[in-house]
Amino acid sequence: MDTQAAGKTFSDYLKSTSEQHSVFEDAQGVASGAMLASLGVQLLSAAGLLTGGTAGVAFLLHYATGFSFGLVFFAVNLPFYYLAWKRLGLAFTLKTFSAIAATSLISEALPRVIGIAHIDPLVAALFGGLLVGTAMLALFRHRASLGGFGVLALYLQEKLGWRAGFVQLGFDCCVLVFSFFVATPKIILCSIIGAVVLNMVIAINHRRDRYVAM
Amino acid sequence: MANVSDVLSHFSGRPDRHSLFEDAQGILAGALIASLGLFFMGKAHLVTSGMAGAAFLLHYASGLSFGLLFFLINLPFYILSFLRMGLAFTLKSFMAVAVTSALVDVQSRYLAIGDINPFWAALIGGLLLGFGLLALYRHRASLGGIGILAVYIQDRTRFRAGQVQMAFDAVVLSFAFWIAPLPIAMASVLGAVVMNVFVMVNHRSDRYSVLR
Repeated sequence: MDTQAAGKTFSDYLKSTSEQHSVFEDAQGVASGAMLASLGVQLLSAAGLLTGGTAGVAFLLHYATGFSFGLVFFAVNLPFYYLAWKRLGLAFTLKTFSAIAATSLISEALPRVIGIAHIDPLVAALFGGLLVGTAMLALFRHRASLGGFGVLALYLQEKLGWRAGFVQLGFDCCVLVFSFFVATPKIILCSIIGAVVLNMVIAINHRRDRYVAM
Repeated sequence: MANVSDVLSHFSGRPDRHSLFEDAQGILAGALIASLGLFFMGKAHLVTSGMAGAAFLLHYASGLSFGLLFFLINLPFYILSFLRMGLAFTLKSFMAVAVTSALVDVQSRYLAIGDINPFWAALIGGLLLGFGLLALYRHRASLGGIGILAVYIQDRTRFRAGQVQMAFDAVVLSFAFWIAPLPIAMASVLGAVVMNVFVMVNHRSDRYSVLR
């Protein structure tokens, strides 16, 4: 077995230093992030809200077809792992796969163990956005992510020169346009508020100069 | 004409220092997440560790609202906090406790919970409370007085702060075994362990290095 990958011995992966997460620390970070994201998804879903990214596509398909969110979310992310592996390496890809698989599974289980009888859509947007944003912050800090659009956007920037930020914005606008087929204007407005909260949490708090561990 | 980065610089502080806006959003986010965790715990009739645990015990015993009790029992500790930790920490902690107390009480108007499994409530609630506390700690705030009292006692007596805190949590959680059915008490312990392990593993000032 090749334990010398990337110049590291196996015991290096168990070590926890200021600059380096141990395998255990990454595992708890990914598990906690997935758990928090699943709860956020449950709140959004209970109010019939949508969001951006591949989770947004999964919500659209979930509402349109009746397939469960977890299954659809897991499936729509599958094509992106190849790109992620090519561009961002094996560790990132494995952690992202684990995060998405765990989020898919837990978001299937949660409604059975924590039943939400009613939720105000605006409250769902605020808390759902906050929870998914915080979850993604935890995942980013452990070098993982929760969806493939970002990776595809980076790839297109490199190959075609399109700016990744605009590509991502374009994806999210497409999700928004399609959302008019499955949701009322009030729900769409709340969904946009939730997406703004989610992205604000990440934009303000995800700073490499403050959280230094890899 | 101001460009985007000029405008953003008012909101995002230097690497070694949080701006006022960053602290405000950190405390608001921490309090919102913690309040959701406490809300789930309350719906499953759980107890937890620390001042929140004491507030839960009083809430179940008296029928008074959790938020009111949590707010009231934290009041005496702000004096200690002001003397030991300074004004900024005390004000931020007061805001965090006030927002959390208010939110836990109004949450049920906007979010109605049906059936809730106590062990899942403990797991999710403990994790949420852990995330909330981590955000508050990283913005130099807290959610209650026991930690401060523990440090104070360490200075005056031969007891260590960690021992004081553990003894307090042991007393609070053993009340859970007395007043609640066994599964609820065990779920309460699980939630407290999840929360404390989460904070212990992730709260490292060598990794998140903002000073103020």
